[in-house]
Amino acid sequence: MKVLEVSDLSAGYGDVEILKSINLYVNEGEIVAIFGSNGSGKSTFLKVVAGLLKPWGGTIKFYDHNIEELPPQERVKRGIALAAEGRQLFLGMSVEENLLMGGWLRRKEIKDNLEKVYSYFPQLREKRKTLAGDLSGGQQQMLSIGRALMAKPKLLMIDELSLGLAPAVVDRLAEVLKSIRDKEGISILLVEQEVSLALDISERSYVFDLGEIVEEGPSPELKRRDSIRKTYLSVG
Amino acid sequence: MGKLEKASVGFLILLGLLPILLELLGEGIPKGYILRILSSALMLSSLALAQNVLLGYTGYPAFGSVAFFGIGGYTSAILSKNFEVPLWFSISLGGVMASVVAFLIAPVLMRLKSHYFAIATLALQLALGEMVANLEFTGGTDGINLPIYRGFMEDYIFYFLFLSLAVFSFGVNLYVDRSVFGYALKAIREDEVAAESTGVNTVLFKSYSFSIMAFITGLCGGIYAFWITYIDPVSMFDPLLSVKLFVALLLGGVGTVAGPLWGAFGLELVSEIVWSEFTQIHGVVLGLLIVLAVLFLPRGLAGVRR
Repeated sequence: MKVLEVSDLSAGYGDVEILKSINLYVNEGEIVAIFGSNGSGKSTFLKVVAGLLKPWGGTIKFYDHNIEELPPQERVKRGIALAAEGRQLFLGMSVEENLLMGGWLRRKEIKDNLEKVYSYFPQLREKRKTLAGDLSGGQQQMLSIGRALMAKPKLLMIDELSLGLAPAVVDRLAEVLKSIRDKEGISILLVEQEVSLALDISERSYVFDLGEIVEEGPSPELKRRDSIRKTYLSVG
Repeated sequence: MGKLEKASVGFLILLGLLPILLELLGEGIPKGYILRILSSALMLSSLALAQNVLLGYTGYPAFGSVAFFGIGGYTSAILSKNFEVPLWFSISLGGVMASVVAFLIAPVLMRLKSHYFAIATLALQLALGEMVANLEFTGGTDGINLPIYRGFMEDYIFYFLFLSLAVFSFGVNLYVDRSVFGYALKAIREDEVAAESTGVNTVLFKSYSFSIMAFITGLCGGIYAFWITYIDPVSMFDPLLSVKLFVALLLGGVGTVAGPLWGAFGLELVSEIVWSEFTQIHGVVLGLLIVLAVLFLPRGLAGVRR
């Protein structure tokens, strides 16, 4: 079953076209990675799927329903959550307040969801009264993912998981993400600049370049592909 | 509830009991003068607390919020003059009118942010002032004379109306500070895109916040109109009132529940003393005090207690 199916999607800012005819899908329970150079349109793509930027053309289907005309809050309600680039936390609010905001549309189940997030990220429970702005980079990333999980999503989109984090922290986060997928059955769409990480954590990957998909396929296979090894893994 | 908030509640209760004291003390004290100063301070508190909902919790500085003071004042004055509706009813409708106007224009106006938004609201205030000055049913530049209130508790009625409004505004701020509704506003203040991506209908919540500000400011305008019994475009759309309420808010502490109340009383008290002691140069002295306050109390009086 396809959770997300994007066909012929184009989008941009002002007159500048950033995404050109993107075709991409995510299956239920799958981790899919998008990688590519700076300015290739990865983050823009997530913004369009989240409803924060209007597409110029094409369709976005979520569980077979077209959602490209829906406002962001309606997409969150249907099960799309975004942990945005730069984490976009509410820095002047506490950890717990940030998480509660994440559960804005699921206020009835908020206590259960909060417990669940704390069970995945025990550090957040310890720091629940701390201002988000006073957290370390790793903790902020946990909070960003935790806040997205509070919406009880079916598709979790994460923009730049490893940005500014130590490798050990990234590895731990990657483990947690896999266990979230296994236990909750959530599909994950990951945008990542660290290509080896993206290929290790995901089942399938897409390579973006100048707003187009230039390569795609199962991640283990892409890892062996010469073009990927030369351009993105600095091998050979 | 924090210490400063508890102190504020105590202070408001004391203000409620004050008239009993004034009556007991009898003729010897300047009752009218005391009530006038306190009413002004309570009015400024309400305006600052109203602005605090918008600027302090939602992050939008409506520098021209006095536009709604004018709308409230003129609505109640026109209603009272032409339809002889009771005082409380015309004042309430003034508040309702101000909040309805705010709710309708918010989706357009609040596409702008920070100083652009501030300037746009100021433009609204000045444009409305000009409009009112050129319309017949608003009395044009001649303004409107209102009947002097005679009746139940006539010495204290406006003091109690301003006090009730200040208590209501304080309660609204307390609610916004603690409630889920307030979380949504704070989320917008912190990062509007992130708030939207967590599912908050930001346009709607910004409109709510703007309307709450306008409602309180409009009620304030209505009470003020009946208090001074004469309104004209200059006094009801006065940019200096905007400046004063912002100074009170900054002095007290933006985004705190108790700050605006103390800021307003502090400013009113200081400006009254400065006015009586330094008649010639009171503007200079007051300006200097404001500069010092900004330098040494960057987070306002409420910030000192943190």
